[in-house]
Amino acid sequence: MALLDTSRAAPGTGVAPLRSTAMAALAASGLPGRKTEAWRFTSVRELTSADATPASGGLVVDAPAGVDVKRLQGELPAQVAGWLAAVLPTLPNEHFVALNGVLADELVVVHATGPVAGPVTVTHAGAAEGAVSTPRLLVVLEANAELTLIERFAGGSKGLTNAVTQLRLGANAGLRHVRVHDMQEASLIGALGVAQGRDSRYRSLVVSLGGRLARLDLRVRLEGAGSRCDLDGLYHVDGTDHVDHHLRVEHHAPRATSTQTYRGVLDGQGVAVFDGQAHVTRTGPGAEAHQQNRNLLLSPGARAHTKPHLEIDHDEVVASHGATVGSLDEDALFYLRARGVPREDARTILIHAFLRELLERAPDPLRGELAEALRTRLPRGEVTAAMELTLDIDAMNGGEMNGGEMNGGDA
Amino acid sequence: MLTIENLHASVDGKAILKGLNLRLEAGQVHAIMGPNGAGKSTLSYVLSGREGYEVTEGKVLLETPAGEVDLLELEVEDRAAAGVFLAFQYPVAIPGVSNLHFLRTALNSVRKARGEDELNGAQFMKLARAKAKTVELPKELLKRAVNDGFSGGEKKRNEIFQMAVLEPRLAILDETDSGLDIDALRIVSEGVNALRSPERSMLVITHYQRLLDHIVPDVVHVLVDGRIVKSGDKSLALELEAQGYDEIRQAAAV
Repeated sequence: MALLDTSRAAPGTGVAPLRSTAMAALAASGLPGRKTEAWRFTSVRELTSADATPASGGLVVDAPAGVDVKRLQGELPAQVAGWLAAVLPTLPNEHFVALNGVLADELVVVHATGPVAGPVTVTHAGAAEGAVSTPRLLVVLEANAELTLIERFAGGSKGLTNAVTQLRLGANAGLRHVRVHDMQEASLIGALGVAQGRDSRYRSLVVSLGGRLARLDLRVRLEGAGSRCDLDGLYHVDGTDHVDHHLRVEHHAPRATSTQTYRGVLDGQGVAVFDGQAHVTRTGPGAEAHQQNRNLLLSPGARAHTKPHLEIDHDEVVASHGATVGSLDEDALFYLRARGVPREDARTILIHAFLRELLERAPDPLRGELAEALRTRLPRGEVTAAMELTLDIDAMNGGEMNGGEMNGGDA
Repeated sequence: MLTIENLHASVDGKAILKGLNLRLEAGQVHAIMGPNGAGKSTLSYVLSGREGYEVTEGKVLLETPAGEVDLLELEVEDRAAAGVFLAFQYPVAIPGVSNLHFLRTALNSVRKARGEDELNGAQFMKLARAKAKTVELPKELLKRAVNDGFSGGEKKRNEIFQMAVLEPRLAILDETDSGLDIDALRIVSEGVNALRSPERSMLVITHYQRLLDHIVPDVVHVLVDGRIVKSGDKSLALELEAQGYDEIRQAAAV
């Protein structure tokens, strides 16, 4: 059965409030095709026409004390239904979001009421070949809650993961969110919707490590005055990898700030799509919106499609946007070589540095792990591995030297 | 140490160096002065091997422990391994690369090319600590990305710090005084003077005489229109400062 037919034969009860509306929504929108603007550079024809058997959502949640985790099916308790209703406007109920609504066999709810020590890690191992899994996650931070959320999507086999995550940040809540897409031969079509209350802070880092397809639609609604989101991303494509990041931030309240900073290295025949949008409605004064996308092309066969854009309905906005697609900085290359670093090593150092700048924003110990993952993927990673041995500068204060050969740290 | 014979070079097809001759003995410091556009920076880039500078004629011979080599036949990094160091007029910022990681990689690349053992972390840190003191470079700057967000003076001090660690045979200082206030100029000059040695030669390229009060040269050359038109001792720099370049340019044109 092709994907749409699969949805008509959805087994079990699913998540009742989602399935009831998603059925009709999916019937109306269908799945995106070549003429769907937001999918212009990313074809899903092979995925939608192939046989697909529904698989269980398969989310594994690892949460520290102080966080409440629920797995729900069928009708939802009134409180959860209320939370869900509040985040549903973050994502249009169409295409793959609607498909997820039909097929999701459970709703995983993570609820935090105050500052939480230690991260919540949500892992999805991927769907088997010929299967589609539809994990559905809802994370709710009450007022003043603080949380680190790590979502990992892996491509253990060759199936399709159609994931929807929705986040709600109460007044003055802070969420640090890292998403790792490591899809290999598998495909991910993910949607992430965020609703932010007054003075809340959302900091997101999306790391896409190639994959047959890794697509993310990230939408943020800045609903409360003084709220702020910083959306960072880095990606690497090689071979026939295809990554696609579609971002849209809507400013619905005064004094809200949004930034989008995405960077990628493209090699082989890899393709990377970036579409970053910020829409500032008539919110009153103090809006600020910035978008930047930089692509480093290492091979003539790689392709970058980049489109940062701003939509502004009134005048008092501080905004900037820019995109670059280019090769290595020749001045920097000459500087390194003039100090004796061989040309190929100098190139490697600069390629890694281009991504490392953003990686510095990842929390420990994930930063070290991601640096290692990138080092494995990027050409000649052993050069920077040897280079980044810990050098203990603080030993320079005098006394005994401690500039040992410890691996994996940062100076 | 360094012999430049009849050097001609052009940029984008335009001749800049037009038959430059120079002989720099081991342990000597020579200054090259000249008006804007005379070819001073071109000379520094040709010696260090930057792309875009085409040598159309001439030789540049450097004495090394392995014998005499023609620098023009070497890649940029191989010139560094042979002992050439260029202190940049505009040091390049490299975000994402730590100053110390970079310098250790550079030093070990050079040592490896010379067949010497690489330094481990502790050995390198001991060296870096000692050398940073000589140019009063705070350790905060060593931790930061290469020249990223450094002030003009900090960048120049970082250049001399790298020179102290890499211990070149031939150091080329390209307008090292530009953008420095008087205190920074003193610190940088003291760092350079501490590196003067019988085994090391220096080529100090400058537009102004001021730097040469601090780094006193053995010989001063005047470069005009791609050629050295006059050489003399340090008093020549003072003469130029008093008279300007016009007189010497006219004399050269005759």
